[in-house]
Amino acid sequence: MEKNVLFRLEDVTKEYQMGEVSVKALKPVTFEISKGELVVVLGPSGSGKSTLLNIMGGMDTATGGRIYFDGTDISAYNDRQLTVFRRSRIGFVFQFYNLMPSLTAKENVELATEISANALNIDEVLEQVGLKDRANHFPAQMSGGEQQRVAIARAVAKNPDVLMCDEPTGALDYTTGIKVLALLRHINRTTGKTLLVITHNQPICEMADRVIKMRSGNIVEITENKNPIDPSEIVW
Amino acid sequence: MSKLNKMLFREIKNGKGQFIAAAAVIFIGIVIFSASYMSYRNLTNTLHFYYEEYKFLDYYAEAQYISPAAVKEVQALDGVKKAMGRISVDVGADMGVDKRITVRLVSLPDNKPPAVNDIFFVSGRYFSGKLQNVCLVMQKFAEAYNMEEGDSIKAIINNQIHEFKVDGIVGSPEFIYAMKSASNFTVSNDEFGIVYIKESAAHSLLGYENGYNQLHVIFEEGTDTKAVIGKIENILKPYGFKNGIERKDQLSHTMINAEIKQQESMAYMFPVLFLTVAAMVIYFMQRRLISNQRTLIGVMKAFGYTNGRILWHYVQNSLLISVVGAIPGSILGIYLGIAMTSMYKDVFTIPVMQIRIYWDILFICISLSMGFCLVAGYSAAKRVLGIQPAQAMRAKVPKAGKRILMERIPLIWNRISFGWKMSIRNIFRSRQRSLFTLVGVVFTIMFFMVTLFFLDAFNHFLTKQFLEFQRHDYKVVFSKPSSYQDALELTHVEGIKKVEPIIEMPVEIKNGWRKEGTTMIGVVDHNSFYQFIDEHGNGVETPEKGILMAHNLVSELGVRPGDTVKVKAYLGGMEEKEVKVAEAIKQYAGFNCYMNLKEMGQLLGEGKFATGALVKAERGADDDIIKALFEMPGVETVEGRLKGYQDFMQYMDLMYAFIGIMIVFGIIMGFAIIFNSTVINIMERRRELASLKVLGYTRREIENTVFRENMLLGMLALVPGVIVGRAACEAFAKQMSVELFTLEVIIYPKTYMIIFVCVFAFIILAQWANKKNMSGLDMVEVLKNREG
Repeated sequence: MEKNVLFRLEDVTKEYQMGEVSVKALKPVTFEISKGELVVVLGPSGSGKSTLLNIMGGMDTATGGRIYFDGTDISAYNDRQLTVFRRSRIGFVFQFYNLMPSLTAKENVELATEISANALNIDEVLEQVGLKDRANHFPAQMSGGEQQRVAIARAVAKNPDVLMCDEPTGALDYTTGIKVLALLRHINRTTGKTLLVITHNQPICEMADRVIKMRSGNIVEITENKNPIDPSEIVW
Repeated sequence: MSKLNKMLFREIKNGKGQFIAAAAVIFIGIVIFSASYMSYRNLTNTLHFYYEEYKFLDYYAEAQYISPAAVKEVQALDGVKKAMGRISVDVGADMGVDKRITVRLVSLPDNKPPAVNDIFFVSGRYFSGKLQNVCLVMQKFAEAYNMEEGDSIKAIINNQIHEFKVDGIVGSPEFIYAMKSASNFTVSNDEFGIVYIKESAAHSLLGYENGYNQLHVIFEEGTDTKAVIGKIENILKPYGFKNGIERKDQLSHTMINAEIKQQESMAYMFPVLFLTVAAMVIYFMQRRLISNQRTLIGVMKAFGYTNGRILWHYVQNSLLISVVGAIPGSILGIYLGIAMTSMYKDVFTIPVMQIRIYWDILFICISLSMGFCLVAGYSAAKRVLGIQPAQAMRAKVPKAGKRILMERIPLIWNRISFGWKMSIRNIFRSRQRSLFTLVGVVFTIMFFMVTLFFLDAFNHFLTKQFLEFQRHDYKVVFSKPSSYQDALELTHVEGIKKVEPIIEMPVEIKNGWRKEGTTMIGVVDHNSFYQFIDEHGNGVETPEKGILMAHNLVSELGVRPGDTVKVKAYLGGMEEKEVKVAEAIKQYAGFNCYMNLKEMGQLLGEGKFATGALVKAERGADDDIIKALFEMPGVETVEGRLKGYQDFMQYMDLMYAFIGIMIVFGIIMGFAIIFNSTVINIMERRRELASLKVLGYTRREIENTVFRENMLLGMLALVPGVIVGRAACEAFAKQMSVELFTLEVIIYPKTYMIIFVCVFAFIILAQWANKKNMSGLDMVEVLKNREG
């Protein structure tokens, strides 16, 4: 079991200094995530879930505690090491897609693969997300769902170990949201990539292997989901 | 191409207006730099080469009579490479059709070219054969009269006409600018010319037996010239040494040097201004772009792009602007520089013009422009480094709206309309950008002023010098000092209204160790032709005792009114006499001293006499009068006062063209500043402006909030602009004022009006160019978009 652990967090904390006051965004949290797992982090806004994702993804540094990725302590990484870490191991998907407006769908994906050593075939990835025909469109010419699919393709094409999605359906309508979730789950199940989804949307938990519930910077509950359901069955 | 570079090019394409505007400012700066630097280098090299090739003097001395033995003695001195005696005398010449002018007869060795101040042939050849009445004529002079080989010139020597056949048309480094004297600060080739004659002919016609009245010297390299000059002057003392002049003070050289100096200062002053403005524009452009793309930078970082790569992405943008502006700018500038040098070649008639393309200028230009842009781009882009990938994902905290000082004065604030309130507040809210706009407009005003003030200053200078300071119509110069009564005889010439005899005498004035050579002019009691004024413009009467001294001389000599100076006339063996400085007078060209004619005669030990006269004629009688004046006995030359004025006016045409180009440059710069700052303003406030649109504001009303802001900043910039501009003009005037004339900073109200109109013209133009940006505000899109 030990060798299957991808992430191990030990007493990780995060404090922000806001003028005179320091805000504890993350109180000591400890948990593990295994390779290939589909984990949903659930919590209301301000619960610290985005902070957690940022720290795990190497976008931000923890104030205290240790974070092990594939057995290596990344909490001591400097800027440069974190950059390399993000470049090769992590793929991000954001709520607002954050595509480069001046690049086409395909070019947006290429932007990520260009700096990655073992990138996947872009056309195949685009086909996988169902955007083969839209490859040469600019973000402004695409719907929200399409844009999010480009964002997913962008994250997947670098061939990272983990996909980290921050409210991936937050800006989408229900039907499109479900499609995006189905795509993410499909990638998780077929490629074995670890999937971390952050959401405040309770029903999404039903598709997870494990759910980490957060409130006010604390983990309040970690539950195993013996029978994760298909996203198409999720209703909200 | 990497996707980041692709992105860069697409971003540039989207914001091409801003890109082009910034590049245009660099383009102009670089054009001015490379053109003036190119012509500066070509001119300097050419001059150096010309001087070397044609053995231009290092020093020359004038004396009453210099024997060949004295020349030999000087030649034998250590450090003297070449010494040559020659005769140089100004005489009248009859140019036909009632035209009498002054020519300078200069002797050349009979059979071989001179050892110092060599000549080059445009046509013809050096003297040969035994004919005495042959001459070589300076090119510019020949051109003024369409003279060719075989034509002849009638020189009037001792009231006799001597005809010289033109054997050749020549040029010389000694007379690139052929000026009669320092007080004739303009060159008029149809009023004065250089004519070379054989030494043997000069000996027999002009006196001096076997001797000379000038000694020209070239020193060995590395010689202590001061010491050698001392020795030469000692040798010449017994020969009635008058004055010694080093190359740096030689008239033609001084003039041409001033010209080159001007090119040099042009090469530095204007480009620095333009490049600074471009750097400012780029800085604000980049800052805005980065703040707009904060999230995208975060995404790039999240995907593993390094800080360095992202920084480079933004710096590249600035570098591209610099290259796009600099490469065509420097190439155009280099060719413009060649054109300018060729123009000088024509003006100066230099045979060995060293026009070379210095490709290193291209390199200098690109580095210079890159340097400025890199500093600007990096200063703006380094903010990228501080952005944490996670931070970038969060929305930027909106700028806090604060009350401004003006709001605390309800009396004013309450009377201002809402639209104006918004514009005023926004100026203070985006302080840095407002400051940028303000400084930009200040720079533009300064640039306009520096360009336009020349016109006013020259106009003022010419008016003062030719129309106010001098009131006579003609100056008559006698071939030798005459009696006062003889001078008055000129009254009998028909059409002459008034005659005032004068004495003009070159003198040396000493105050302690300081000495200056100048011309002392004796004028009659209550003279009516020179209007002397003091520094404050008040009229000054010629004193009975003491001298009036030009303000420049006063400062050069370090004297004050009431001080006593020693005066020595270059009149054979005159001793030094002490004279009191009565008052300092303001003079625009040719720095002279003036005193009462009678007193001056006594000072010279000659009693009341005259070397010429100032004459006022009836209107319209001009041609006949010149002829009649020339026919009077003893009259050598007649100089029309307005001739200099007209000559100068010819140069003004060139100046208008130059100023026209500069104004276009200034407008482009001003436009680029306002245009870019307006684009940035709109980009920063897209949400705000779109909200206004949603609230039902018309397009015009929205446009006005931005327009009002620019107008306000434009108005605020006027006063500091004028102050800074004035200071820049002072600096320029100082640079331009050579020893021969002073340029005063005079700016007419009309000019200020033109400048102000230009400022508001480009503000309106920039607003108009931004219309598309304004009307393109998509309410839904802007308000939905997190980035705004």
